[in-house]
Amino acid sequence: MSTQLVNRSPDLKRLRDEGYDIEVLQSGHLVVRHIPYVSAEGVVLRGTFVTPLKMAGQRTAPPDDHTVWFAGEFPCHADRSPMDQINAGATQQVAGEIVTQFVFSTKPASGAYADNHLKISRYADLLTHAARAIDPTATPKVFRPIPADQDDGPFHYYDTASSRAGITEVGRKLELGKVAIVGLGGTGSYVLDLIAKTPIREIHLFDGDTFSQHNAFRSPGAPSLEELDGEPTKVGYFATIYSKMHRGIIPHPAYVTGDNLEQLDGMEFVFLCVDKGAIKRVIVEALEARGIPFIDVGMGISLVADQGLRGQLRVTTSTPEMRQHVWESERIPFEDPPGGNDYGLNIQIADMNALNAALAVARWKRLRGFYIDHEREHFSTYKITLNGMGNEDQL
Amino acid sequence: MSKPEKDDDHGRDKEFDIIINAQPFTVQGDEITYQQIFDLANDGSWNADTSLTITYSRGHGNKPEGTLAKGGSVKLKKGMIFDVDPTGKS
Repeated sequence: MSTQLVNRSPDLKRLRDEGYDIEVLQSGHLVVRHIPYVSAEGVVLRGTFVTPLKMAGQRTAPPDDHTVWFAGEFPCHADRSPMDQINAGATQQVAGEIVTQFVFSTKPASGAYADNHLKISRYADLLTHAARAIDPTATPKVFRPIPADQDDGPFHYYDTASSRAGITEVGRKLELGKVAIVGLGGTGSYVLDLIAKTPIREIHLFDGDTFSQHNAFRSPGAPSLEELDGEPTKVGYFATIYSKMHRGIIPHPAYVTGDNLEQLDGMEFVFLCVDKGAIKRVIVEALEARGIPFIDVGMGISLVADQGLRGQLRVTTSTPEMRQHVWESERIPFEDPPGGNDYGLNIQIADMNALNAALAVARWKRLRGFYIDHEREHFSTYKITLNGMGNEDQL
Repeated sequence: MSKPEKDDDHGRDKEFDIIINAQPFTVQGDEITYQQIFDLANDGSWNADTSLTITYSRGHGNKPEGTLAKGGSVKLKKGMIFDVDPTGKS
């Protein structure tokens, strides 16, 4: 179905976002399925409305006809008496593969329906009201999943969350062509979980690691024992999951090194989520040379005997407008953190990985203008014990 | 007979009770430097090359919160809280 026609037509968009099961046929007919109604036997059945659409260029125009066609048995009130007041004849109509048996007619007080949402919902309400007397859960708003056209955005199914909230247009500020996540550890995997739900066209994942049992406890989702046994690469494991929703997840099962930096060419933004410091310096220099904006994240958590855990999360932002703080104020650690991945010395907790990732993604969204930005900080810290954020290097 | 204490503390350094990484310390002087915080917080796993993020909170009114850079210092206040961590894990 043409998602573009629906998106351009406020009445069709509203029907879809409210959960009606709509389809627009090639012939220009609007089909609305799953309309609950009461049959002559007093049983709740589901029928289909069909109506020709009047068009004004690429979007719908107000309907010039207040009637609607119906495929199903003739609907009744809850007491099984037929709804004679809307009966406009048992005239068969054909639309594509659908054959309708009845025509209904009821005019609104104004004399004409101003749009297809008013028209369809009026008829749907009439039939559903009777059905609800028998089955209180009956509704035409079924929210059937709607696949998106191949050439209509990066998702397999349309982002109706943004549509229902009215933020699709501001969401277009996030429509970058290519974004990279370097490092799919705890924080990188949560970054992926969040940006896979934005309309970035391609999301490139770089990591040479295998996904192990301990990684499951600081990643989004919940793998099965069988999935862990498969010893997937981190990028392969996450690409499989997020490709269910997003068409452009591209795994690269190897570390970014000084020898393959050309992989970063053409990236419009990079999330740096790696532990190793030395490679960070190489990557940061490469990103600066290519004029690519990026965010580097990192955390440090320690266990205090007899008390509990404490620590900090860090988000460092670097863009062509602001680079020098990274070097002059040492805002990115360029040597390996103490302890590496040694047992007992690498404390990362899922909620802190998620928070660090969410802070990084929200910062990127402020850079893009999706969120308003009053702070324009390029270095921020979150202190766990204080539940406090600190911002520095404001532009 | 000893003189009553005066507000100006000629010849006596002030002492401040502060918290560094959830541990209490009593430190002397008006200010504390990056290096002093480093030394107090270091349990032996850090050396001169270790990159640390040092932040403070509950400091003095005009800038009660901030980050300490290498070579920097901040005015002490009773009850100040310092967080000192390498922030490289992802």
